[in-house]
Amino acid sequence: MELNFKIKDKSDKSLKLREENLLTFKKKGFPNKREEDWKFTDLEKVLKDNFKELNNEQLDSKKPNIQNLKFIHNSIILINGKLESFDFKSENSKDKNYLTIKELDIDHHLNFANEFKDNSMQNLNTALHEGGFNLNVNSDYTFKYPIVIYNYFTGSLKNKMINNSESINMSINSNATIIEYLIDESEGNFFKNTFKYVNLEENSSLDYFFINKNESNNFFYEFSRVKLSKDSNFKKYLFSSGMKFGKFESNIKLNGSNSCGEVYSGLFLGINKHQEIKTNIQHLKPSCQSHQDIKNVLTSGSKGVFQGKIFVDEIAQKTNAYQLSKGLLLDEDSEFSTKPELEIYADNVKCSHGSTSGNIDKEALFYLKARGIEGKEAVKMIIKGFLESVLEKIKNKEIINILLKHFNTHIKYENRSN
Amino acid sequence: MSKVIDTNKEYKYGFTTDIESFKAPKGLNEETIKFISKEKKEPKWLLNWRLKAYKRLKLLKEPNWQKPKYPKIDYQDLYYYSAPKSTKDKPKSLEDVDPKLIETYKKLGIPLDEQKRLSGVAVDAVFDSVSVATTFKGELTKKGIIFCSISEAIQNHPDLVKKYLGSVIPLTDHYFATLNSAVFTDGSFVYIPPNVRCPMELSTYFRINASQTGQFERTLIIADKGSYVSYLEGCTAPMRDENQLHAANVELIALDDAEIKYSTVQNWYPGDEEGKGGIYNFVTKRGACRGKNSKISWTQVETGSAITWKYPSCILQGDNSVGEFYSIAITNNHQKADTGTKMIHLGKNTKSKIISKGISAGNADNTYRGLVDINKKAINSRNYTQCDSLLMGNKCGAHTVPYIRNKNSSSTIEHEATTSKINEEQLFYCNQRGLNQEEAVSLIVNGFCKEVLQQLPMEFAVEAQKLVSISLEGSVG
Repeated sequence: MELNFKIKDKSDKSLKLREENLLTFKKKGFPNKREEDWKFTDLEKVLKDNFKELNNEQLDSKKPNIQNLKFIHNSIILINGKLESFDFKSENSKDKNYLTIKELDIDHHLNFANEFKDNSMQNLNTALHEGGFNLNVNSDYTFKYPIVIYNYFTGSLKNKMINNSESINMSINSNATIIEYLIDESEGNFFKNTFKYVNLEENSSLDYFFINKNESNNFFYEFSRVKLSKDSNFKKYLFSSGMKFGKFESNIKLNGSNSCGEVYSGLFLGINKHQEIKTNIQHLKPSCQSHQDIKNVLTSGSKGVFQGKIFVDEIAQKTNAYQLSKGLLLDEDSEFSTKPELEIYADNVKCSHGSTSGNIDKEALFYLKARGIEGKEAVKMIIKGFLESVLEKIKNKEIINILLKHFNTHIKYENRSN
Repeated sequence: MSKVIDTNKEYKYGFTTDIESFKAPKGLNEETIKFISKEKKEPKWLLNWRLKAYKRLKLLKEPNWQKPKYPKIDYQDLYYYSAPKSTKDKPKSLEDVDPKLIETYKKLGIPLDEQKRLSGVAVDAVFDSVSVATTFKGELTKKGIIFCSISEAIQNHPDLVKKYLGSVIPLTDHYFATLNSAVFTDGSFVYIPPNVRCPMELSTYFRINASQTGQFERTLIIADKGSYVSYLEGCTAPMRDENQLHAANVELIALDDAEIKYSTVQNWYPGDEEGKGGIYNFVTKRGACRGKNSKISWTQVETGSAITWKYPSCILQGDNSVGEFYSIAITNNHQKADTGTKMIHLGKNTKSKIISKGISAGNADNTYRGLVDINKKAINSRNYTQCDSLLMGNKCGAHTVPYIRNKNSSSTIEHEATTSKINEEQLFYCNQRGLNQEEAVSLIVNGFCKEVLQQLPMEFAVEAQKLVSISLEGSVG
């Protein structure tokens, strides 16, 4: 695989740092399975098998076919990773300073870039970083309507590598729901490497949904660093079914007492899909809570990976942490690998995890068949029930509808003799 | 809760015996290996095998991924061979054995003389590196069972040794296993012929005695078709200030319908309260269920050693084979344990079960690390894993790192893990009924470990229960 990475931004401020990072990346290369964090997902091999070349040359972006989710919402439009426009008219707020949004520049990116410099993907991101957005929600503001980020990929993106980053800051007492809606209508394969920095100040809350619209033949790596202050609350929902390759890392730091971090995901992985969810939830202050619920349905040579870690610092007493990962394997070619990890240094805690994998419960199937539901339909029903269980805590009906539709598009259960 | 009890019992088995040791020169090199081989009158093929391992060793690096870190070991500063001199001419009976040795065994409670009949345990006692006396040989010989030191086996049953040695843990496995292959001095050898049920529990007491001698034990157990054997391994070691390395290899082979039960109680010197001294226990234990319907069951109670680092594993090759792992790991003061198992499912309808109980107190760190890998061809396989950790005090750590891979849809894996502290209500209940804090903790912890303790053979279970309580003394707070 040929790598043609060139630093385009030659500004004095950042050039040196970009060069250093590019050099570090070139030394380390793309991560492979010899690295513990990439044990089950050999990125180097995946890229080599799918790309002859990767470059960061100018993107030839086309105007996308504008999609509109049919409910009242605010919107932000990204095209090929860059901020295109935004529209907060629906919010109709009297308070003019409730929010600021602008294109994310390298200065802002550098505030975080050094945090994960052991990760060669971070090195690459810093070296080639272009665009993204920076969103700041001001204190005491509660959004009336969700914010939808339409994340379009258009035009010919053959052999392109997109490196961007996003930053979201929730000020004191603010509340918001964000839906990132990924629409891929590009031609040719590309690889996207995104770093997200989310900061929640005291008593704020953010629900973040990631929903993939259609089938995508592309490769996504995303690293989110989430920092929570006292009494804040963060929920992440990940629905990336349909993507050929995805690795989503969440590094959640519970850095204030009584904060709460949650991660939910329900994935259906079809023909040769490979997706990994990796979480690292760090309980750094007392009385924090975390909850994780990961469900994977696997078929036709797909590979699902979950690596989840709960870390409890010695001062983080009264921690309550729970993690559940379940894999439903529908045929012989699929594989589910998990590494649910606990690292605990405090004694007054309640931490547990569970992990299961296997085929559809024969008794459940028999129960449905006995009630006149035909084999294929019964299996589909069980799969749906299995995945939809992660939606239980969502209150917004509009979002539930989008997700049910998402499942309908992506659950493609064929043949079988059941 | 305030600290109630301060008394900390001294290590009960901390003593050394003055017996003149016969040592190989210090250092690890080809000469040392040739010296060991010559001393043990080994055949040529084994010497070559050792040298091959040594050649490989030079290419390998010490692993550094594990959680417990240890100071660098200077392999050139160790003695690789030491034998009590008085055994150079093998004693014919108990009377010929050095009385000081007998005394040592008595302190350890090894039933060598009168007790042997009462307890019905056949003991192959390893004092440092050379087996001194073997009991109950006659009865075992009648059944065709071979139970002897591996050096004897090399002399008397070379075919069996040649066929199976290194077949489960290959020469090239990893640093410490390869080191062992190059310089192993002694250990036990067991062969159970087809359709024989071993009439008694076979047992070996290991004992590290000479200072600065890393012990490199090699154990090989073969259960032929339809046979059964239960093997006990118990360890105590004298008090020492220097860190001592112990890198043993244990290989189990179960053929068709055979069953091996391997139980360990490990109570080596854990170092003092500040974490000074103590033994490094870097052991490679692996069993292969080669035959159909075979079964290997590991049970371990790990309370000693400064660092314990071992993963008794099962390779489930035969169809319908079963692997089990029951473990209690207790760490106190500055002890570190990184232990668990690997269950590799290759055959059809294979089953495995893992029950791990970790207890961490003081400044200790306790890690469960395990792998469950169900291969594509291992259809209808099953695994159940449960790992529970108990924390006492806020300076210790408990960690769980399971790797789980399922590569076929007809197999089922279940895994659960919990971490918590001792339930206050249970403590209160016991206190209320007149038990003091320490007795209450001991009772609750024994209950917590019950699932594993009941897997141990009778003689061991009693000892292990006591050990569990002793290990946690002074940790209640």
